[in-house]
Order: sequence, then structure tokens, then C-alpha cells
Amino acid sequence: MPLTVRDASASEEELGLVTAVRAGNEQAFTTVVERHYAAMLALASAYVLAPGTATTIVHDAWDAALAASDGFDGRTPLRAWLLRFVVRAAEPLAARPDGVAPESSPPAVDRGRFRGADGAFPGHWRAYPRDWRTLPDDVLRGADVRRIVAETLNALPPEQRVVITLRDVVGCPSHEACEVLELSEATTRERLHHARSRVRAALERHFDA
Amino acid sequence: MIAYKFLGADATAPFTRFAWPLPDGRPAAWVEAPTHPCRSGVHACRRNDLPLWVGPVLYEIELGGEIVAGPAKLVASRGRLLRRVTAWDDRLRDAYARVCADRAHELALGPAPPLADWDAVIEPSIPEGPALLGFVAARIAEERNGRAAYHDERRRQAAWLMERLSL
Amino acid sequence: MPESPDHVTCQEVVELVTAYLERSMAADETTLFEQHLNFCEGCVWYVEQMRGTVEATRRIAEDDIPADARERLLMAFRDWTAP
Repeated sequence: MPLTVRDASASEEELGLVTAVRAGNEQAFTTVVERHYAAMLALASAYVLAPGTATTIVHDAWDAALAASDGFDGRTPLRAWLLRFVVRAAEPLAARPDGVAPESSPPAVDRGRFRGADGAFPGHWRAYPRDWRTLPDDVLRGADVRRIVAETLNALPPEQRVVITLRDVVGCPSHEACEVLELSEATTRERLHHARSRVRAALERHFDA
Repeated sequence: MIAYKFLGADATAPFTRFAWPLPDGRPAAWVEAPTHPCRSGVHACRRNDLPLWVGPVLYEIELGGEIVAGPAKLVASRGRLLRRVTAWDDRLRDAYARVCADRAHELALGPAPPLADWDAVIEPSIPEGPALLGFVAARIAEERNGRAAYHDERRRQAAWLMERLSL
Repeated sequence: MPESPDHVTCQEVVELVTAYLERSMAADETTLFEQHLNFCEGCVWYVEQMRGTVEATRRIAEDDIPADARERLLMAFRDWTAP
């Protein structure tokens, strides 16, 4: 695998854009909006679920970002800097399902699918999971799968939904997600793991049905 | 340094699916891959590691540059395939699987008490290939006689392979 | 996390898969993980399922900006730039 260079700061182009925005340049502002609005809305929606509230959060975030734009020093990429405003606006409003302990998570796969501790080859599959490469291409890309992924994300504890949204939906690399959420790599990875495991399990139930 | 590398039937590396340039009577082209920071680099095994990495096709590989020796493999910053080890063919693979299966039966049912549940896994595992049988035998050895026995069994497997492959 | 220093089980693999895909496991643990995948077709398929899951999640991204959002933001920008 090729080495990925950790680009932890804003590019020259981004610094130029922000300078232009501060000078009142509408074209520059529109460019920034077009590049980053979707990511901001995705993250806001991960916190609050209700579309109207998410949109309000995003607009509040843009207002706050403009007001603070003289503080953009390019030390973080522009996207990460903008997403921080979303986090600040959204966190207090985050939906929390009743009665769910914050970090509770089942094992990635039901224990019963593995051989027991008192038998032969403990911990190994009783029966293998399916080879999804044998599924027709369009199945994995189809509307059903998108629907199941979206539904599963909605049912996640918000702290897991936020991480998987940033990492897998928006596509932030790990260090950027850690910076935006102000969490350690270990914590984001653990939440990502639980979230992805649930989505996989939901897709598996669908394909095996 | 000369080492060994198993590849898939299509000459791709098992985990990265990198398509290796193949030798054609002469050594193939060098592949460069820095070993730092994400532990990429060219992976290869020493003769003792062979049982752990058994795969469809075996090549002799020359490693160069920075070479790091791990407990079960070598990681180098450059490598080139020298020749295919043609002795490692379907017949030898099947023979190795059979030898491992027989050892596994011996370990599971030889001494008392019999490990019937462990024994039951052996024959059904054969279609999955020699790598699995190697593990099954070593794991049963460990169940019988502890960690050291696991490693002993792996050494036996390596010795068998080295002898049959003339390595 | 693995119970044995010499091998990992399938049950451990399904908990380690994210760390593996993130390349955040220590070298020794990665080696054990890969040794396991070398002989365990079931876990190879599981890792592929996880890759497929990540790909499927990527595809729910919505890249379009609602038209009224664009207008609203432009108005807010004009208010901000106005003296």
C-alpha cells in the first residue's frame, strides 16, 4: 500500500480562499460552501437526526466561522476547522436514546457463532460467514443496501454515529476526525469499530434473509 | 539475503494484492517499498517460517536495503523474485496436507485421553488446504502439550518442507 | 488483547479487524492476524465483508447542497460583509 502523507495543515489554496472570503469575495465564499456544506450537514445530522435542526446547526456554524475567520491560521485543513464549529453547535443538542449507557456495545459478532471455550478449537467459527464477493455487483451498490446502512446509522448511539459519519461517510482520515471531535485515536477507533460492526451485521442479516 | 515468498495462484501477494514482477529465467525487477512508518515494505519468510505462510505458489526472493527480522517474517525495503520453487506444486501441497492431517490424528487420538472433538475437525479441513492443516496439527499439539509443543510442531513442518523443497 | 502469544482466534479477529484496517496494530499482532488470515477462509471473508461495509457506508454520502441553503448562506455572507 502506498504511504499516505499526513497532510495536517491547510493548503496554500485554502489560505487564499479564506483571505478572499474575508475581503468579501462572494465567489470564494461560494467555493468554500460548495466544498464543505455537505460534510457539515452530514456531521450535524449525525448529532441531531432531525433534518430541520441539523440545517439550523449548519447555518449557525457558518455564522460562527465567518465571525471567527480572522482566527483561521491554516494550521488545520479548512474542512476540519469548519467541522469544529458544527461540533460546538451540535454537541449540546445531541440526541440521546433513553436508557442506553454511553459506551455499551455488544460483541462484533454473537458469541454463539464461535466454538465454545470448553470444546475443540475454542474461538473459531462454527460456520463461516458468507463470501460477499459472490454477490452480484449491483446488490452491494443498490438502494436496499443504502437504506439499511442509513437506518442502522440512525439507530446507533450518537457518539458512534458521529465517528462513522466523519470517517466513512464524509471520508475524514483518522487524524482529522480525532482533531474535529477532540478525541484520542483509541477512542475514535473503538467507536468506529462498534459502529461498523453493527452496520456489517445489519447487511449480513439482509443478505442472508 | 535470500528468503522465500508465497504468492496467490495469480502471483499476487495475499494481503496487499500487489502483482509481483515475475522471474523468467532471470531475476525479476526490484520492488521498492519503504519499511517505515506503516510496516509496509516487502514481506518474506525464512525457511523456518514457511509453515506459517503456506500458499499456492512459492518463490525464492532476494531482499535488499533495510531488512528487519520479526518473529515470523522478514520485512525489507526492497526485494526481487529470483525463481519459482517448482517443487511446490499441487502434488506436494496435497502431500503436506496429508502429512499434517496424519500428525494431527496421531496427536489427537494417540495418547489417552482421546481428543475426539479435536480429531473430528481434521478431515473436513483438508479441502481448505495445507495452511489450515498445518495450524490444526500445531494447535492440537499445543492442546496436548502446551505452547512449546505448538512451536515444535511448526518446526517439524518446516523441516518436512525444507527437505522436500531442497531449501 | 489476544489470549495466546502464538495465534489469534476468529473471535479475536472480528474484534481486531478495525485496528487492522486502520493499520494501528503493533507489528507482532499484525503478524498474528495475517497468519490467521493465511489459513482461515472464514476470516478472510469477514474482513472482505467489513471492507464492503465501509464502501457501502461511503455511498450514502449526499453531496448536493439544497438550493435554498445556498441562497440563505449567501445572504448571511452579505450581511456579514456589509459595513
